[in-house]
Amino acid sequence: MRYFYGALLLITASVLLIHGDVLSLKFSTIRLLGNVGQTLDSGGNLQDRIAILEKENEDLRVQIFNNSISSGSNVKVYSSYPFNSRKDIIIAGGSNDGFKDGDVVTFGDKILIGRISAVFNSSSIVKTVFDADWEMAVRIGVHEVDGLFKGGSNPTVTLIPQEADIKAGDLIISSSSEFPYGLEVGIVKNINDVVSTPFKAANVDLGVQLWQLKDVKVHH
Amino acid sequence: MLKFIISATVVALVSLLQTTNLAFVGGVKPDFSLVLVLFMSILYKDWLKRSILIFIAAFVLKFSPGLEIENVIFIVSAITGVLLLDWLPMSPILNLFIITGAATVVFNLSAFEIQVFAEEFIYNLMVLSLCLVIYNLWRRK
Repeated sequence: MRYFYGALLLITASVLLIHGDVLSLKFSTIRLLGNVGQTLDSGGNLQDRIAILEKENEDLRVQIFNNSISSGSNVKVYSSYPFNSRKDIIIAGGSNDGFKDGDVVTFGDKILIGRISAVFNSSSIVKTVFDADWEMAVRIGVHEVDGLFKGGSNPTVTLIPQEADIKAGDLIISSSSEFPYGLEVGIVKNINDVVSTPFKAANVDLGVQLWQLKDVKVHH
Repeated sequence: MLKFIISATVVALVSLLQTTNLAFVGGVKPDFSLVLVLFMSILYKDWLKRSILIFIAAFVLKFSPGLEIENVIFIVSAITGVLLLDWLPMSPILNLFIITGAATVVFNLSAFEIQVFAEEFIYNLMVLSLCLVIYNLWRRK
C-alpha cells in the first residue's frame, strides 16, 4: 500500500512539473496571499504603496518595451578582440542574415551589449558597452534620473545631478535615441558624491561580463 | 626544421587562443602571442625565422579586413623587442623580462588605462615565467 501511495505521489508531482502550470500556480498563490495581506492591512504605510506602484510601473514599462522591439536573431559569439585596447566581439551573422550597421545587440532580451559597427557577409563586428570610449545617455532607478554612461574596465555614470535620489542597487537603463528605451545596462554599485561639485557619479555593475558572452541577440 | 614548424604551429594556436574568451584572466587578456614571440627569439637567432613567427602571430590576431592600428603596433612592438633583446648587455633571461615589460608599455600607449596596464604587465611576466619553466623542463628530458 505504501508503494502505491509513493507511486501516486511521484506521478502527480511529475505531471505537475512537466505540465508547467505549477509555476503560474505558484505565482498566482503568492499574488493571492499578497492581496489578502494588503486587504487585511488596509491602513498600510503610504510609502510602501507608492513603492509597489512604482515597481508595477517599471514592470509595465518593461512589458511595453518587450512588445515594441521586433523579435531578434540569436547568434553565437565567434571571438573577442585579442588586445585590451578595444572590447569588440565578432558574431556569427552578417549581411546574409539581414544584419546591418547600427543593429542593437543584447544578451538575452534585455541586457544591452552594444551595436553592430561593421557587417560582412557572414559575420559582424560589435562595439560593446565594455569599451572605454562607449558613451550613452541612461536613466537610473525608479525616479529615472538622467546620467551619462561611460564604458571601460570600471564603467561609470556621470553628470548625475547632485540632488538626485539614487542608491546602490538602482537599475540603469538606456535612454539614448540610438537604442530601444529601457534596455538594461547594469546596476549602481556605489556613488561618488563630492558635495562641492554640481554633479555626482556612480560606479556601475554591468549585467554581464564580456568573457561570459557565448550567445547574443541581434535586433533588426 | 621540424622544431621550427612546431614552434610556428604553437605560435598560431596561442594567437588563436588569444582571440577567444578563454584568454581572459579577470577582465584582461594577457599578451600570450607577444610574450611567446619574444621568448622564441632567444631560441631562434635567424631573423627570417623570427620574422615568420611575428607575422604568423599578427596574421592570426588580425580582427577585421583592412589595416588595424593595433596589429601594426603589435608587429612594431615585437620587432623592437627582438632588436633590443640582442642589443641589451645582460643575460638573455633578464633581457627577456625587461623587454616584455617594455613591449607591454609600448603596446598600451594607444589606449592607456592604468589598472588594465598593471594587470596586463603582471600577467605577461607570469606567462613569460611559465614559458621558461616549460622550456627548462623540456630541455632536462
